[in-house]
Amino acid sequence: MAIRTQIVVCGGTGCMSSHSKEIKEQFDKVLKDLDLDKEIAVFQSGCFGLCEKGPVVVVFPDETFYGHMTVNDVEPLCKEHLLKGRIYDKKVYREATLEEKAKVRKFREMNFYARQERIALRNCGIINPNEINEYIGHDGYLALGKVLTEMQPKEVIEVIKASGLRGRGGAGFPTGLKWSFAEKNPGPKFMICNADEGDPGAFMDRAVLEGDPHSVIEAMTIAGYAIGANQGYVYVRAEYPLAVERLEIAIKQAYGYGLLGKNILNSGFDFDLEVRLGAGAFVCGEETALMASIEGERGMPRNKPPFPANQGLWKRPTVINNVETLANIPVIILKGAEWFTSIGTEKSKGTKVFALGGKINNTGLVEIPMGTTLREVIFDIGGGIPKGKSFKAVQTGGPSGGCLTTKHLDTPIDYDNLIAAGSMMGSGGMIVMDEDNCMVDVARFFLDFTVDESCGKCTPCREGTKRMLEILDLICDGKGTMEDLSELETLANTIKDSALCGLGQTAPNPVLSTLANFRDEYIAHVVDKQCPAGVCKSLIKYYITDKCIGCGMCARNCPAGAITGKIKEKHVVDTKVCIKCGACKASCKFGAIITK
Amino acid sequence: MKSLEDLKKIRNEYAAKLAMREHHNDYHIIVGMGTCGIAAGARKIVNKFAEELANKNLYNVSLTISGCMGECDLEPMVEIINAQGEKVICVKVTEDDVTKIVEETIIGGKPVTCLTKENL
Repeated sequence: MAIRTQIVVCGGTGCMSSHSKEIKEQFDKVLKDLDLDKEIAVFQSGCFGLCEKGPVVVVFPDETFYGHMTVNDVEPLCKEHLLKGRIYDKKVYREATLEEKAKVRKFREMNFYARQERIALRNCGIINPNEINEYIGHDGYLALGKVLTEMQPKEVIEVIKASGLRGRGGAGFPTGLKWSFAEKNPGPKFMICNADEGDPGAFMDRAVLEGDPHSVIEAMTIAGYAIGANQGYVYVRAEYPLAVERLEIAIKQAYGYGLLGKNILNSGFDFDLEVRLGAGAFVCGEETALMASIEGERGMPRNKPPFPANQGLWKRPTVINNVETLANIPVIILKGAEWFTSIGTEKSKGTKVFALGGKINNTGLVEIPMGTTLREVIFDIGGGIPKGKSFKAVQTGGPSGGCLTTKHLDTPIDYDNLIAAGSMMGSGGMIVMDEDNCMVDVARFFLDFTVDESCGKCTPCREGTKRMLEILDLICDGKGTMEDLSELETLANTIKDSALCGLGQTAPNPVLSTLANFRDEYIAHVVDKQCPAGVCKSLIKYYITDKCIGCGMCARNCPAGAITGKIKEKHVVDTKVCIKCGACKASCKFGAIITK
Repeated sequence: MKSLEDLKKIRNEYAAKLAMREHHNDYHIIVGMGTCGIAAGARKIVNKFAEELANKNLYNVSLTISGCMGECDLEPMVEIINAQGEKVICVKVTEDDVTKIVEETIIGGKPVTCLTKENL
């Protein structure tokens, strides 16, 4: 009997942690019980991107998108949708607005997907990552075949150069140029994939490795051929167990098919690939630190030059590319540089994957053409800010980036525009903040991260960031002065100019950008001793207003016993006893508790 | 695997399997699977379509099922929509009709000739 329907259960880390594996097993069982197992196939894919709605199940060819699935939904879904042709209404995805709600949309026509252009994520959610044949079925390894049989290494580099592809890991260095530097040097050479993704909130590299590991393997082999390297390493953090597992399965399958190893496709070209696990230090995403870590040394950066293309791993010429950069390569080879340059802006070609997080309705991964505005990403694709709150800022580029405000919302996103606006592309984390976020606290959060992750090799980063954090702590505690503010700025600029590696040089960015865009909030903390967003505990007090009807809910929820009052009368907070946990505010149904 | 040809062979074989997950516009076939449809044998019809399409390597067709189409005594009913959006609803469809529809219309590109409500 032929398969008439295919069910894809999302197997990304997000959905897996909410039991998508059990859901898949339940599908297997229910389909067997209903005698549908010969007509309907089920498999697990990589990440679909709309993690907010996880666990996600999509039914093909109907393209029906089901979100928030549970094991108990599987049986009714099968009976309704697969047996009787009715949409299982309880879990089907509908748009948020009333007029759009009426009709169930096909998943590629949903607001979240319709505006995206998926190149790096082209196979994520569509193919089974543990099945090399499905990757090949989607034109996988054809680019490698084309390169090995029809092209000279220099021609490959020319195509990548002409495509204008720039590194997706953060700095945006032209990939083709990087390859050409290494190509000129004598061998042996090495090809490394940087999968040490460390920015808080960014997970696109993990999604590619989990959903489409073969695209990285294929791209690395192509790169190896282009630069003349016969050995490749994928440096991935051990904190990504699922990505490591799928990558290792994929490498094994590629060896089995002769797409890795000796004499690939009878071309005479050899390429070996190994996985190297990192322990999850943020600094090991810096290329020189990463190479030190592969060599078995302590993961610390060194001075550049010499650049890795001249003297890299074991002092040999080395190219290091980020996962997302590599995922673009096979498509560029197949479709040509001209096609790729038709997407994006003048200086930034192609697409970029962003991880949307924070105060946004559609948390997840989106891939958009360069030049899309922040407003489109946050409001049209991301679905805007939850609970009708107002947008305050968006942090791009993780701990190395900066905060952008409403005045930047219509900026087309590309490498240069983001830098001009005082932030950076980084690896593509995008954390949205609403009126309830205190910008001083946000800056403190990111600085706290870099202080933790500083390797300690150079003084500006090791000592400087720590001193900056101390000043921010003082400001949040209401003990800051205006002199502290100017010292904070001086320190930030000094560290920016003098730190050894990218981590230190960019660590002050969150502070500098919030100082530039939200100086009034800093001044409110220092001069008025107030936190306008009501976040910094030392600066806020809880009050009960006249809206209180005396239900007693807050008093029952207060862990410190700080709230007193008679039933049906207005209650009072004893600010001396109050520990400012916010439990009362969260429990009040009448909005009677405020902070000031 | 020794050559690009071997690779392309696997590619063609699996591209067929993956085609179901792509967006199709050529033909959309909908089989009514309300209780009435199932009782009249619609499940056999769906599977016959799936089998015919797979055997003849036709991947430009999206085959889905729907609930009751409303004319319960004329089941099994099949709606066929072409790329231009023109619809024909066939009634009292048999497995032989399925073969005929696939061969004449999907492959041959001719209009659907089947029992409809009008020519019954």
